[in-house]
Amino acid sequence: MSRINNRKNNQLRSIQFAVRGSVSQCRFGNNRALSRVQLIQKPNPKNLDYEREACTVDCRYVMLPWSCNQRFSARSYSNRRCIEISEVIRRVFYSVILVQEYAKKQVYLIANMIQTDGGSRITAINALSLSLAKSSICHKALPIGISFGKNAESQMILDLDGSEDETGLADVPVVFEQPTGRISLLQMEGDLTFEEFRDGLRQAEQKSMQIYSMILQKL
Amino acid sequence: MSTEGLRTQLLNEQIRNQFRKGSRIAKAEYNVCDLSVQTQSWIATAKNSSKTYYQVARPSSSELLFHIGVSAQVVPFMYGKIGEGNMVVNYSPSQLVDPAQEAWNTQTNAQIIEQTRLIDRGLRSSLIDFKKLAVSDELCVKLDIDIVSYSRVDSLVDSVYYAMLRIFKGSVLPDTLDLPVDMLAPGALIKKTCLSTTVHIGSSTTQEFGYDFIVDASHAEEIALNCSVLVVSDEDGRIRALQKKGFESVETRILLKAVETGVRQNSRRLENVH
Repeated sequence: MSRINNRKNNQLRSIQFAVRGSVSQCRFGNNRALSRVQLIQKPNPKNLDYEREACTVDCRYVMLPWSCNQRFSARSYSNRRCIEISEVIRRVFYSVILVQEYAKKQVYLIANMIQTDGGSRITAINALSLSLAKSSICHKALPIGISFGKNAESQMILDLDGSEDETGLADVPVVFEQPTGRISLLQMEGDLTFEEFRDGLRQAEQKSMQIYSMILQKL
Repeated sequence: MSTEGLRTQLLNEQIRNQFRKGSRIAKAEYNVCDLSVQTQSWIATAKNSSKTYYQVARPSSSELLFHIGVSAQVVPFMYGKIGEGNMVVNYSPSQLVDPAQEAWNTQTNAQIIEQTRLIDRGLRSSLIDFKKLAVSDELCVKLDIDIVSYSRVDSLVDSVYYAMLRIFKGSVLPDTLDLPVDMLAPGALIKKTCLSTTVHIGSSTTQEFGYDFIVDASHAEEIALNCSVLVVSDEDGRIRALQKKGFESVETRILLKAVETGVRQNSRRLENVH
């Protein structure tokens, strides 16, 4: 049985990366994200981390007002969903950036969602990865996001779009640090057995290498 | 040495001492704190509507104390959620934990928002059956779940799940709301009996004593072990929600083991709930 969008169960949506000056663009099916990674040499003292001898990493994930079916407030960065996603993205990048190298500095990650269709945080992370790779900031790996889950027909599928996300039985966004393959983000809600989860995770890991090589090609 | 480095060193030493004394050594891969939940009957509150009732649970573990108030109101369906009930979760650490914390001003603290949404997602996807909260063609029950904690520990989410399960299993919605009879039966609102467990992934310190994973970490352990996985699973051993927390990344093999440990731990705890 095929999926609503006629893709195979392990087939990803069309993915495109582009770089325009200091801004990176990622298209993941109908998702579109613009991102930028900045190293601020003299940040506001209130943003500094005095306890660790390392830089601070801050992230702002913003959904633009027209980015989804229900209009978002122009101050969408202050809603609970965006604050949560900003926090998880910040942690993902904190683990890959060599923070000790940039003591008393600030790394600022900005991701603007222009259009969303399921898997927006994954698209934002992939766009930010390209920005990080293009920047001069030292990092030990690149975070690559991908999602897997279970559709309404109980089939394990990769890269869920908006309609599959709404009608499906489980959705698992996961971020692998490539090329090491370590996991830096995992969120899941729905209903999966341990075996389904394990198989889905392994398939996602394989496909994340494909996205990683696409980013490398852009450099 | 930075303050953070010194703190980690001191905490690691504290954990070593704890292990040497045997407080974590039970010849098992993990041991569990005692968690007790005292549920009281619904009480009327003076504020807001007269149809607002609170049920207070008071779970306490060795280091954790918090209160949960569940209030129920009959309201029209929310836009886009016809035929389903509604729920809002609010969580705030008390000023007793941190005087700098302004009570209920949770909009700006990303970690509190993340924890609140985690509890919210878990309850929605597993424990509560929202379709059973529909009262008529136009009305539904809205649940407001307010949580105040008096200590800062990661196992808050686990304890909240346990308390919520006890609340929904052992008690009913207030009959003064004029609800259908089937909604008032004990356990009527439960979709699946689920529990959550936060599995902390061991560091070199804990592995020295043979512990790859730690469940029910103490406050010192939580700070020293910078990576954990929250596992919500039901009585059939099916995974209902997962969330990796912490700044460090983890190998796939170790993560899978941690998830398996969490599922097993939940099954063991669920036996006690029954």
